[in-house]
Amino acid sequence: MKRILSITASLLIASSTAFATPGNRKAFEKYFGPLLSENLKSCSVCHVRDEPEGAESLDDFPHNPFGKSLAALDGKIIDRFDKVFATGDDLDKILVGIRPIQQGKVIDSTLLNQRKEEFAIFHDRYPWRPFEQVKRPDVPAEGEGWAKSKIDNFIAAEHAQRGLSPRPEASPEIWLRRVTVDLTGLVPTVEEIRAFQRNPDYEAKVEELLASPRYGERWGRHFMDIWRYADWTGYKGVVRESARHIWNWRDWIVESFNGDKGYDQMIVEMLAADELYPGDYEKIRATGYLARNYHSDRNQSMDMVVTHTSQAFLGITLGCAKCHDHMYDPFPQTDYFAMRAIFEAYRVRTDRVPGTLDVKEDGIPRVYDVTLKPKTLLLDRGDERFPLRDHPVEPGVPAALGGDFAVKRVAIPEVAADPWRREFVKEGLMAKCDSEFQTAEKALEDLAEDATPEAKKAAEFQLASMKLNRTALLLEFAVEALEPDAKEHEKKAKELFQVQAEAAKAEADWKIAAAANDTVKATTELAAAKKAKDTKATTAATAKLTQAKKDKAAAGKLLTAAEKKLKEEVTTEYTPRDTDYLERSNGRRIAFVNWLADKQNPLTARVAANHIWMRHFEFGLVPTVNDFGANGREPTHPALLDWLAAELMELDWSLKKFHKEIVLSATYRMESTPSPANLAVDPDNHFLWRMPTRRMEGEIVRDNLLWVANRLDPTMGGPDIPNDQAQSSTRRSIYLTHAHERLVEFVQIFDGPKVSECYSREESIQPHQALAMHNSPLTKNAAVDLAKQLQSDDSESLVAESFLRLIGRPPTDDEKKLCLEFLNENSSDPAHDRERLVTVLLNHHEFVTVR
Amino acid sequence: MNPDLAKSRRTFLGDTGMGVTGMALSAMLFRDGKAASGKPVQFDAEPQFAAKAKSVIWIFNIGGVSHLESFDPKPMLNKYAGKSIDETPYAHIIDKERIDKILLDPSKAKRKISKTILPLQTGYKNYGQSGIEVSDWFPHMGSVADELCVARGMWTIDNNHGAQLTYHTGRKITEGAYPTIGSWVSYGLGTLNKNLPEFVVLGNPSADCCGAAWTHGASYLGPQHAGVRMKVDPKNPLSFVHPADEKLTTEEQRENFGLLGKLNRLAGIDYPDDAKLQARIKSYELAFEMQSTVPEVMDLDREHPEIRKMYGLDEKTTKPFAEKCLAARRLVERGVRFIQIFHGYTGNAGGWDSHREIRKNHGVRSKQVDQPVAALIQDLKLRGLLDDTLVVWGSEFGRTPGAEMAGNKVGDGRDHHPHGFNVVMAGGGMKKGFVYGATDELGFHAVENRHYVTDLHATVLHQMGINPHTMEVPGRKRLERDFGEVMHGAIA
Repeated sequence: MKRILSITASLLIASSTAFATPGNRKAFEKYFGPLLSENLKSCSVCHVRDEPEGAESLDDFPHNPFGKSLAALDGKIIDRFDKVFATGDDLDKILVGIRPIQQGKVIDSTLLNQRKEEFAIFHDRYPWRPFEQVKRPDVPAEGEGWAKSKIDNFIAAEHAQRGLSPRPEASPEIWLRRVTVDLTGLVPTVEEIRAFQRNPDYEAKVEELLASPRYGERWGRHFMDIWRYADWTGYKGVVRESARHIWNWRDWIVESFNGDKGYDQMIVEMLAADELYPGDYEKIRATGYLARNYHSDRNQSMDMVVTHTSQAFLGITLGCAKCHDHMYDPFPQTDYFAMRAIFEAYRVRTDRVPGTLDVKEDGIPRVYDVTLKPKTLLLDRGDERFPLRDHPVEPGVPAALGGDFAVKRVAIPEVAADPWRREFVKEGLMAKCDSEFQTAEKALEDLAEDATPEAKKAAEFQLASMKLNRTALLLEFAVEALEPDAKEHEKKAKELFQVQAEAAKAEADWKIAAAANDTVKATTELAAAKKAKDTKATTAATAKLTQAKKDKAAAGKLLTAAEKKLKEEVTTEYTPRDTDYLERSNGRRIAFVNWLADKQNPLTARVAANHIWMRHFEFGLVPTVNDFGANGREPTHPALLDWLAAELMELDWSLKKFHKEIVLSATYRMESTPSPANLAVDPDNHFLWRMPTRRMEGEIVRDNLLWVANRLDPTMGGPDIPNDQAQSSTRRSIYLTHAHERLVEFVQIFDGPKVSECYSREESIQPHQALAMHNSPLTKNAAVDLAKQLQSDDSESLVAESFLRLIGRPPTDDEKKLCLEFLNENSSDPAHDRERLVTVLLNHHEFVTVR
Repeated sequence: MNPDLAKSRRTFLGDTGMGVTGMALSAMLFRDGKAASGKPVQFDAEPQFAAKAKSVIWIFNIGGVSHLESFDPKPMLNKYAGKSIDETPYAHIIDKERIDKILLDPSKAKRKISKTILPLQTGYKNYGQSGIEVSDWFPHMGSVADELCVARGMWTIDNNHGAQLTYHTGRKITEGAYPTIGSWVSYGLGTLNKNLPEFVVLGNPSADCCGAAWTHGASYLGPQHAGVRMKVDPKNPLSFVHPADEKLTTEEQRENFGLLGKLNRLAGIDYPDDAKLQARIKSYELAFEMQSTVPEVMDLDREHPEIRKMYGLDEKTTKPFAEKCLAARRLVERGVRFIQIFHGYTGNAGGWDSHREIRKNHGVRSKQVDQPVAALIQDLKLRGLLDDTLVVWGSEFGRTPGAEMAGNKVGDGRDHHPHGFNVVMAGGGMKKGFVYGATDELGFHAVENRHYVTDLHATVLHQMGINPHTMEVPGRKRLERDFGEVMHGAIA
């Protein structure tokens, strides 16, 4: 029984939405220990839910020792808490762990004073209220003499409170390697190291790194994790959880980071560029974010977009509220469907780009609204089989997060509504027509004198057909250029109707003639083959004959249809060459981004700042980067996170400026070496008394294997490179296919991103990694090239240069000695031995490690 | 584990003289001055008392298996089918205070208690001499009933799928990562061999929602004690198994790894507490050996056709899980300490999570595991391995006696049920053909021999000769419940 009690004490979870501060929980555990479960039995001591029903309601807990005194109090919980604690005796008793109703116990005054002091600290702690608007907190006074950024004052305040002392500043070489890998993904070159040793200008270095195009590739990949980038699998040719040419979105991401586009603007473009910038294909590429969430199964598609949009940008798990009200956070089930309604109308299409008419070859996948009034129904318990017809849900955002949400429809210009009317598309179509016409013309001219009558007839009909096609296309352009109510319009449209009918007839005639020609040819071939007793040729000719018969039958049907059409009354209802899209968009997504990318939104900046922080310091300030709700974990530095969020917005959402603030801080400059005293207090370094040691992500390991041997191809962008070329391609890993069942094995072995979701990477250490690092062709090629490049005749210099190049520092005497012994011992093939030495250093723990 | 041993681990890196490849690092870590006995298979760290099990095969079914339709039949569910629990003589079972005391979870108010009783969705038979009742969804498991030890009194604390992590660590998912049972075994006992990891993971672990890699992680014990995921793919058993450098001889590769080990140890002098570096060193030493061992272990074609058939390797339904079970036996034969097999990965809550259509859903899932697991137990027995191999089969929680509502209608599935569920064990010194503990008449609460999930951990460790209380890590506070209590009543 004793054991169960201790379990209950340590498992209390905050439940009230407004005051679900883990601080309360911690404090209760601390002050009451096991007594809490025995005496109080409920979180309701301080957590009283807004809704009267439910287990946390005080009425449900007559055994609550605070009993009526608590129930009688109104107002905020914390007031209630204060009032109870202000009543003297009861407070004292509780603080030292005596039940208030217990009489006659002697209170230990030393213990009481200590607890009172602790309670005062608890009471004055920084309130963590992630669902309330960000307010820039005061900067703590601690950290004077050490701090280089205000970040450091917050870190120092926690150090001071816990008796931690920061580790010394890391050497310039260590900081250089750290910041270079962090901002570009690539280790510094020997030249860069030497230059920095001569002139360690930290700020200039950061500026230089942020200006490198490698920065966009590095941080673009980070956000591709958060935004769930996935290439198209191409499976059965359908748009499903990604689309053909989705790499356009990836390129937009990389360019946006390199161009330091504001984070708010990135959100706007990804979720609503088609509505806000309908003619701007550069920006429309961003809507690949939504294309990636598309699935022909509507419920699945909508579930992905709601679940992941809420997690990625807001750090809330709205997906949990599909079947029921959210179990931890203040989001009723309708919030889920209201967000779904925002996205209900979007579909995905591929628009042409100059260069080809075939969208299979190239194009831009993008979204558009298919209807102005999409209907979203509440699903009973989230079950798509049971939509509640009488519960349509209007678009909206969670009320618990505040802010304004106002929908206004927008007009979509012709370029977006009818993308096939763009000039380059028309020119392309015309050129295609011309070329077909010329081909036909030439075929007729080149016809041999002794050509069969059938062949001649076929060629003539083909030319006639092409001529009519061309006329029809020109007419169509002319009709399009006219206003529908223009006088000429009706006349031209009718003319087009007629020409299209004639063109159809001509095409049918041509097909029939061609089939007849094929029949003649195949018959001749068959006779010859039979005569020659060539069975193979006989089979082939028979097949041709059969095909020609089929073609003839098909052409016959075309002819019947065309003749029927010719007899119809001529109208203006010609057949347009492509589909029109809506000339208005419902504007729901605009309303959403106006709310989401607004500085009033409590979560957007906090979540983004936390994501970025995690990618510099291994852990987020809120460790559950995708869950800021009550089921997430508490922040280690709530005030710092709020300050960072305020700062990010103050910097107009410039991520480059934000990085700069972080990487120039004293916190980021610390060594990663241990200190026994700090380890005893904070073994997991939650309070950042040293710089965390991190392993490169899989992509970065691979990139550096190419980079250090000068093998990296710096080409940016373009279609994804098939994943099975990962060992031979020298492009950065971000450009390799990343899709379901098309993953890069090497990257996955180093905990590469999962396709379904990857808000934070795992970091495992497995023997598979050792084999990939030692045995892969990538490593072999790097070793061979590097050994050649690094003055390989001179062993000492080879060792020294390799260490600098691969690990970012010169070898120690012991290391040099071991390496030279290794080379001397094996002299039968010195060139190979040097390659082996480089291989060993590529496998060095410090190569993949960022200190 | 005594504190001196732990200390010696932390300082090992200063000693570069020991960096010889081919020698498993764990041996250095754990032998701690104890002379190697020279036997081909031996304990690295001596068990603290007589161990009954050398290896554990830990099978985890993701999503929550219905205890009511596997090993804990409740005729009352049929008798009162369609009635509310309130209308039965067992209305008192639903005692909010009692439930809350178990859960202490804010969601308790919101997850409604499914009161309308759903009858058993399958039948039961008595099997073997022991007459243990096994549901008709698990006939093969029934055929080995006399080997089974069914613990019916399990309970856990989370009524959502974070319980998957809890099942492995004892902690709630909101508390983050903690060492899992497999990592404690690795930490406490080290390896029995030098050419395979002591803790292997087969199958896809829990999804991100529910712990993911934390479910086989080592947390503060350091990554070298985390489970090593291995694929069962006979055609490609181990990626990058051959050096791309064709000139490289095995001896040269050994030298490469030897130099690497020394260099890594030297680099570690500045970072003596760096568990990642320690794990990296170990991973290379292990990797070298695995190049030759893994392809052999995973070559299931070497198995006799009768054995393959017994596991269901030739049937489409059973093949994926049969391969894992058979591979697990082969790993046990080679001295792997802890093999954790996952079944039912779906990318979310898990394949067993049957809120609707439980008959169909569990029907499919049980077919996938029943034959392979039974074959594994049978096979181990035939080879005389079952005595020192403990097989554990379970999931994060059971399922509700009541039907989950589908809107206003009574549905055909069961909700999550943490208050009482079952775990099945076999071998490793557990009682045979034995039912241990019980739930109440409706299968709601565990009422007899109630055991929290860490009690299962304590039992596993006990059978392996370790008292969990002796495994304290400096600077890490372990709660009483983390240690668990041994299920003495279930031990032979």
